[in-house]
Amino acid sequence: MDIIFDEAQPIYTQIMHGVLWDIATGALLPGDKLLSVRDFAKQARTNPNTVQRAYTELERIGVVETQRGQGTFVSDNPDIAREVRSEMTSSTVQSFVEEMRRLRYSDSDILALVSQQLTANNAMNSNGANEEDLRAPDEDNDGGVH
Amino acid sequence: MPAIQLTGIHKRYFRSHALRGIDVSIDKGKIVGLLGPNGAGKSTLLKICAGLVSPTSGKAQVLGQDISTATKGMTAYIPDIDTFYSWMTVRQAIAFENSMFEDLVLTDAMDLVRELRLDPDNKISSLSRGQRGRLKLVLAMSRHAELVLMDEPLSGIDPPSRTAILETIADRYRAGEQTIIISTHEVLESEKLFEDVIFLSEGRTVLSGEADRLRAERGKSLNEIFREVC
Amino acid sequence: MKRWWSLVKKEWRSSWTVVLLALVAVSGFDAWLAFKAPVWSVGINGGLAIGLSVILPFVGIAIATYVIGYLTMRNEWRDRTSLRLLSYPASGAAIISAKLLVAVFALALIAVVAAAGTWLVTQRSLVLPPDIVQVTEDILQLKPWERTLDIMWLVACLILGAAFIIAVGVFSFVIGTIAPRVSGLIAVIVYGLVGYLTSAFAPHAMYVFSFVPNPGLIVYRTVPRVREVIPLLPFWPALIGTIVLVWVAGKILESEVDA
Repeated sequence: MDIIFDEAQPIYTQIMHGVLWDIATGALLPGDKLLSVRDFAKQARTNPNTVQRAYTELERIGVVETQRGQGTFVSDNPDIAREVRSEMTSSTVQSFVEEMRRLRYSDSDILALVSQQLTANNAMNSNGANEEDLRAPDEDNDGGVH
Repeated sequence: MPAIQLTGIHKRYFRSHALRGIDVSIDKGKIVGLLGPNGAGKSTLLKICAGLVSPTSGKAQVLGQDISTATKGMTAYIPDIDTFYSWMTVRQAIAFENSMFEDLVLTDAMDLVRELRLDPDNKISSLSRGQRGRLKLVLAMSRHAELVLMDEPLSGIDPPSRTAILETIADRYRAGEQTIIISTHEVLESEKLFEDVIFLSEGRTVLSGEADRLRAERGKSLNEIFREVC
Repeated sequence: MKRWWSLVKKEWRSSWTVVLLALVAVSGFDAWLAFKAPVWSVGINGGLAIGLSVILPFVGIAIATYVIGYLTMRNEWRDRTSLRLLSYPASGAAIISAKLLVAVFALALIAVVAAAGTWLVTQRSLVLPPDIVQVTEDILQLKPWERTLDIMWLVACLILGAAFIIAVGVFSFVIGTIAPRVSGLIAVIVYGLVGYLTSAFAPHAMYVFSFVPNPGLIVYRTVPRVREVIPLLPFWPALIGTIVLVWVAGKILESEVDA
């Protein structure tokens, strides 16, 4: 996992967010093992205590489980991963819509701009990006979008 | 019992007043940033904790004890300057340090030497600044010291060595048991390492607290807060 | 104890090259004198070779004794290793005494080689100066055990004297560190002051210690031929003085240093 930190925000919430994002995109699947606190800290050059705090917080909200002596795992309940995904999706959409409204776009304009951008992106991607990146974790699409 | 407890610490040198009333309590088991510009009194504060300087007035305790030869045995101190016996090889320096401190673990030291790409048979006088900075870290982190004091561990060191040093601190930090105090005026690179921070300016503490709480409260990075308060 | 021994070894390893150099110089010089001695001893200056082999090396050793205490400490400060040294959990007295031991040992080693050189030059001289003949005769009067005892006490006293002088050098340096900017000046003043006090009060100290048992030097007077024991009165004052200086300097090192 590569988190680009914004040092102006609390580090532990960013670590939590990074893990949640990986679960939402499917980079981390139910039952997958998270990086150990020490490896995470080393990779991100951050404080192991901060990583531990983020993991503990994730465990408190039920997203991960710590097994003594084995490490921390993404909850193997697929419902939770689905829930995380829907949560991340709705919050992303919500903040996008909020910002667009702050920029005083009407709902129809927002929709038009989105479809315009999608067309542009697709055109760019078909010009040589590899296909793999385009493939969304589609297996639970139906459950993820309400 | 806090790792460091300073009450009303003043330190005067002949004309200058290095510390003007420091009251600080540092909890055990944390990595704490001691942040301040040059001349703020960071080095003096660390030297007091290391038992190298005694305060003009005030009370200083480390690991629940008055500072003494005994507390020196539990403290790893890295000065900001080079203090190696340059005629020694890397291996000899480790062996000498091992004979001085009971808590040094030789296998850890040799692992770190390898990790940080130092040649154990090199003479210290032939090492570059970055290599010396890494060797300092080897000596400090191969000890299972309860308290580690690092004075400007990154200053004057090449970027790859800085990265290696920060990684090693995060990796080798004995979470829960060890308290590490890192003084620096270059906050940007190291700020993610700090759980708590103490800002020092002109011999006084101007701000202290939990790093993430300060970020949340002010919506600013430690580096930005540093420029504001120091 | 393990730490102290390690400090001693470190001290020795950092200085053995200089000691080796001095040993080579002294033995080379004496070898040259021994080579010249047979011819020189029958000339006008019969004692020249012997005299030179005594004066030059031993004056050198004496000068070294006066400055080595200061220098051995100053080197740590000059190389900034003082900060490391003082962060070790060793007492100030342990740090200083390790340096003192190595300095005394090095000087003694050089002195032994210089003395052996002088002996060699004497052996090679065909004609001996009358003073030396006289001294040799006096020494021959002593019984073997008396001679052994004399040498033992003499060596002990010389070593103690050297240790005291070195301790004064260390002490002066340590006092100097309290004021970093003028440390050299302060060290010189303290050195002079301690030197003055030592010479001014040495008679008093020796008088006081004449009331306690002292080691003695057994000698035979020439006329009348009587056996005499000269008490080595500087013994206790030098010993106590050295210990006090090391202890006080050690305490200062522990409490306040500007490295």
